[in-house]
Amino acid sequence: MNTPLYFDPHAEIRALYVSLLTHQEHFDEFKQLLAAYEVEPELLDHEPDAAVAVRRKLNDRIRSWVAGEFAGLSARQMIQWRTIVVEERLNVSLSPWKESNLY
Amino acid sequence: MIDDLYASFVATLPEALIAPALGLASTLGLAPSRAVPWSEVFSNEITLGAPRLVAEAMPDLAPDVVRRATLAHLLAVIEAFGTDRIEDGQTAETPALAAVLAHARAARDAALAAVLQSAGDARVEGWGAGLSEPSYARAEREALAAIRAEQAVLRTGDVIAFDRYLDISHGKQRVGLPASLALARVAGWDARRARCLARLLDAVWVALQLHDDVIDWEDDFQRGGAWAPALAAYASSRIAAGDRPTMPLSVQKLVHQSGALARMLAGSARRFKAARRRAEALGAHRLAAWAREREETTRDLARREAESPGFANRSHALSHWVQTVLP
Repeated sequence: MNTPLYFDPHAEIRALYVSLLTHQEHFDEFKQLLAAYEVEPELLDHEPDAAVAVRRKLNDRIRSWVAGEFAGLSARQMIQWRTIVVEERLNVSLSPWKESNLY
Repeated sequence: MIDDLYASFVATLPEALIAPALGLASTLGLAPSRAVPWSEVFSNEITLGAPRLVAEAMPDLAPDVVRRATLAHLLAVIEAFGTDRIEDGQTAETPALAAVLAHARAARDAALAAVLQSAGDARVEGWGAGLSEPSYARAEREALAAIRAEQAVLRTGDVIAFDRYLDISHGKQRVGLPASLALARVAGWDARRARCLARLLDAVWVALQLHDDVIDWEDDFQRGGAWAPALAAYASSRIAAGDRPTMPLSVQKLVHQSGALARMLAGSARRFKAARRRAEALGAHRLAAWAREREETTRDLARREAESPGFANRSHALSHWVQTVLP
């Protein structure tokens, strides 16, 4: 009876997105912690202690922003998100002048 | 069509300028690599292709005339970006870049002259009364004066009233008009319809400018000057001394607290609405549909920015991330 009829696998990310959109301080901290996560992709299996601490801190902060419901980011996700958000590197051609199609 | 037209321009250049011309979007910081064609530099069709969209309302025009007008327009816009980048120091003026831009000006003027020649000697009633002959020389002078006025404000850190900002934004967009007005001339539009077209395009260019000035303000500020802080400082100077914060604010906080970004976005949405109405009245339906979509999106963004200051910049910064993580 308590089994949800529908599970949205992206609900946690949506909650995080809304939190980042509506709170400048969350957005700033999100970006700062991703920037502080410095791990070479080929060393993912041996994540340094300092990086583990940063990842744990970001996961904790996200849980506080989205009221607890957040499974946590893996090391691989941290690297992917850092690449997009901090380094602004993408696999597509994007001009800095293109207008935003999304908000 | 845009890439074909640009290729036709490049084919007229001396051998030594072909490579610089092909990499122009990248050189000007408009594209991340030389491989990006002009048709992919902007997320809308109108910036480089306005005459083609406007021509929907002029069904009797010969396709060749529309192509020439579109060539004149796209070269005018590209040349204007080049001049702007050089003037504000974002791009170094190398001899090759200067030569490509000079060729673009010459090809632009030749294409506009060819379009106007199609109109023959026919004088359309009312043109000349507040509606000047389409000319890039005049548009260029006005745009350059506006660019220099902008630099004077941004480099000195002056505060500026919103109306003055709009005047300067309007002046910067002058080169966006002649090719489309030349088509109106060839189509035999009377002065009333031609003025409506000029106001429609003015509204579009300033709407896009306001939006870009919001989205890019932090990058622009780091490069030496942005409108949002100047407008925010003006708003702050109008607050009674006793109500002003006693602690210094960061520039970002000053901008967010002033409501300048929401005001700029609301102004952008109003202009998209005005453009949409005029496009509908003239029969430029694709342009009207695009303006309607932009009106709704920008109005919504303005509302969210007012509710949560900084929203527009955060949403822009997160747009690629959210596209990746929320497919």
